[in-house]
Order: sequence, then structure tokens, then C-alpha cells
Amino acid sequence: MNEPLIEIKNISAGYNGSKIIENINLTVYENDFLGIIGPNGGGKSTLLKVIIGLLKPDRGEVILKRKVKFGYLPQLNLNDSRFPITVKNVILSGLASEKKIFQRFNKNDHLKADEIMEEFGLTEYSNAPFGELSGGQIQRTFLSRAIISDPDVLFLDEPTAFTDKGFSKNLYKILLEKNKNTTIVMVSHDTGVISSYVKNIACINRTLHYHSGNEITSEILDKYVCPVEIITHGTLPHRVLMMHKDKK
Amino acid sequence: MIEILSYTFFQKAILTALLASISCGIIGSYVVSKRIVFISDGITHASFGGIGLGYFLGLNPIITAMVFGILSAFGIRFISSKGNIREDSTIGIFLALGMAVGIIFIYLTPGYAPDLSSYLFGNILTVTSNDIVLSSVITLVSSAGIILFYKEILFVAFDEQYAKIMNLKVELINYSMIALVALVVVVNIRIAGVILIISLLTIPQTTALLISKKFNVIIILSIIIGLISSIAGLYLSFYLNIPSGASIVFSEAVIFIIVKLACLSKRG
Repeated sequence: MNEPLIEIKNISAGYNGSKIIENINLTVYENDFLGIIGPNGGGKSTLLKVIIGLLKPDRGEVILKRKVKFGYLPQLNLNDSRFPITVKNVILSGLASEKKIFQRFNKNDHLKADEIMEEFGLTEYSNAPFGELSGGQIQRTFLSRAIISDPDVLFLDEPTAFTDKGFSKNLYKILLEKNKNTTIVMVSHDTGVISSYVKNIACINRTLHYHSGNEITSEILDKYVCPVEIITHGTLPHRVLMMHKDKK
Repeated sequence: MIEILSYTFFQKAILTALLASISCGIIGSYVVSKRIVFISDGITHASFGGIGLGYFLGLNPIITAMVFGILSAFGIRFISSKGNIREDSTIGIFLALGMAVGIIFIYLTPGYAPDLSSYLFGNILTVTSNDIVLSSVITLVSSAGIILFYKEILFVAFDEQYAKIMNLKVELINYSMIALVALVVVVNIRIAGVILIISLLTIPQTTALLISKKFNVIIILSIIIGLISSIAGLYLSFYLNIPSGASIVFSEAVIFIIVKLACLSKRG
């Protein structure tokens, strides 16, 4: 096992006093590909926001073992995408943390953006207004924004929610390539996706169950039944899992 | 048509209109793009309390209105960020309270308030040299701000959450921008008055949005549209002998309709 990179200790968090997640302990390792699964409203996105620092936890702490650069793909909110900005500028905004104040984007930055747009099939939309994109295109734009800075840790919240099957496959290929030198934390309630790509699985439904490794053993099923469908590779059958026992 | 340019009052009016077109063009593009028109209008009305206070204390009402405008802008942001009261309700309260405070102070001030109607409805022809100096300073600050901090302002306005992850100073930028909105609105009150000033920050920008979806292009188009409509409005005001604020707003609306029709016919 690699060195720990992020340690999450006793985290409880929520919005306006209501508790969404409770007593979460989790370690993300260097070069990990951690899949976070769980039902809607189970606290997947909330946990992600706490780790990134967008939401202050009510209790507990997040410890970063070294200084890391984050990339983040938020869960899409399609209502709020009418700001007059071009696709390329949105992608370039992923480099904002590396620019000093007054500093403009240089040729290199633009080349990088062009390269990523090529990879994600966005080249023809480079100058298009962001507000006129489709859901899938928005998601690809945000993915580009998340990876343009070559982050140390890449957080993805439902990366395939709006994309078509063809792109999803392509995306996972890109992610596996990235995972060679990038730690990836991916939230998904997507079926059939998580366990074929990730190295470790965490299942969250208010509390968290950690599954080291990506294979679902019968022991895990007995101990921590997860409320989502998981399709695994290997010798295990595809199956739908039951609710967490403690949620009844 | 040319000879009235030789009058000093008209030269002052043109200069004021030019400055207003620049400051309102920049800040209005931000207001419209970020969809904070209502909070901006709330700040304008709340600043009327400052105008009343200025009368009462015998100070320049524009200065006291600036203080009132900034304080109510911060007040609205602060109270609605605490989460208990919704932002639109907070704006409604500040808007009405500011107007009420203004009216109370004006009634408490002995004697007649001479140019009260110029603050309510605007009269660009009453602009003084001091007003022009003040307006120049605010215009300079707005222009320098948007040029120097363009990418920060753009990214924070587009996606606050991601801007935070990118370590941009989100709160500082938001508060600075809303303070700038208050300053630009108040310094231009003489042109269109508390009641109409919001149109200078919204109609040219909405027109520009019909033509382009790029933030920097919208700013430049707004400045040009604002300048054309304020000069047209000034001439209208002079020849028809009507208040300049209303004629400028009317000119802006006419340009908006023309552009909208052109867009519709182009689309077929």
C-alpha cells in the first residue's frame, strides 16, 4: 500500500444544522483511485466538499500529508450556466491558482487548453458561449478545467452523469492514464463503473464503510451491505445490494 | 445642433455622460452578467437615506449617499449570507428603509430642499465641477479595477466555488465589486435619479448581451451604447425641454428595441 496522502478523521458535516455525514474516517493514499459510492442523499458530495475545503465540517479534521494541488469536477447544476464566458476561458480558469495577480495567461496555457479541448472533443466550441452548451458538453468542459493544471489529486463528482456511453469509456481510459501520477477520488452512483476502474471503494450512507481493494467479497457483503448496484469484474456475479443495515 | 456644444453647461453634461457611460458600462456588465440587478437597485434606493442625511447635516448629499450605499450593500450581503433571511427579502427591507430614512431627514431639515427632484429623477444639467471630479475618480477606479483584475473578477463571477478552490480571494472580490456598484450608482444619481439610474447599468448591457456573449465585448459594447444613448438623450432633453434622465433612459430603450428587432429579423 502507498503512503497516506489525505487523512479524514472523525468528520461530521451538514448544512444549516442538519447532519448529512457522521463520524467519517477515511484515508486516501498516494496514487489511489478511490471510488465513493452510496445512495442519493447519502453524503457523497458532502464528503467531497469537506475534503476539498468548500464546506467546513462541524466536527473532525482533514489532514493533508503534503502540499497538494486539487482539481475538482463538481456535480452539475444546469440551471446556472448562463454567465457570458467562452468555453476556453472556463477551461483556463483551472489554471487560476498558478497565476499571480495581474499575470495573464501565456502561450503555453493556451496550448494546454487547446490540447485538452482536442482530447475532449471541444475544439470547435473553444470560442462558444458556455451558456449555449449541452449538459454533456458542460461536463466535458468542467472535466477539462479540472485536469488542465495537472493536479495532484483529482476529485470527480458524478463525472459521467450527462455524458454518453462512448465518451464515458474514453473518459475512464484518460483517468486510468492520469492515475499513474495522480490520485483520483471519484463519487458515483453509476452502476457498472466503479469497481472495474478503482483501487479502493468507500460506501457512504451517512456513515462510511471502507472496502480495501475493488473486489466485492462475500465477507464485505455480509458485513457492509451497500445500497447500490455494483457490477464487478473477476469471478463475482453482478448483483444488486441491499440497504445498509444501520439505515433501517 | 453644433452650437449648443459651445455652452459650458452642455460641455459639462457631455463629459458627465461620457464618464457615466464608461463606469456604468463596466459595472453594469458585471451586474447584468452576474444577475444582481435587484441588489443594485436596492442599494440605489437605500442610498437615498444618505441624500436625506446630507441635506440634514448640510453636507454634500452625494458623499453621504456613497457611505449609505456601501453600508447597505455590505448589510444586504452580510445578512443574507447568514442564511436565515432570504436575499430578496433583505433587499426589499433595505430599499424601503433607506427611502424612509431619506424622507424623514428631508422633512426634518428646515426650509425647502432645492434640488431634491434632481436626486429623484436626475438632471444632468445641474452637474457641478465637483461632481465631475468625483465621477472621474470613480470611473478611473472602475476601469483600472476591471483591467487589472479581469481574470479574477470573471472567474469569481462565473463560479465562486471553483474560484475558492483556485485560491482566489472570493470574498474580497465580491465585497469590492458590490462596493463599486454602490459607488458607481451613487456618483451617477445626478444623471437619472434614484428612480431611473439602474437603467444605465442594465439596458445598454442587456442590449450588448443580444449581440455578444463574451464578457469583455459586452463591456465595450455597453460603453458605446451608453454613450450614444446619453448623447441622444441630452439633445432630446435640450430640444424638447424634458428632464435628461428620462430622455436618456428612453433613448436606451429605443436602441434596445432596434437591436432586438434586428436580431429577430436576422434569425428569420
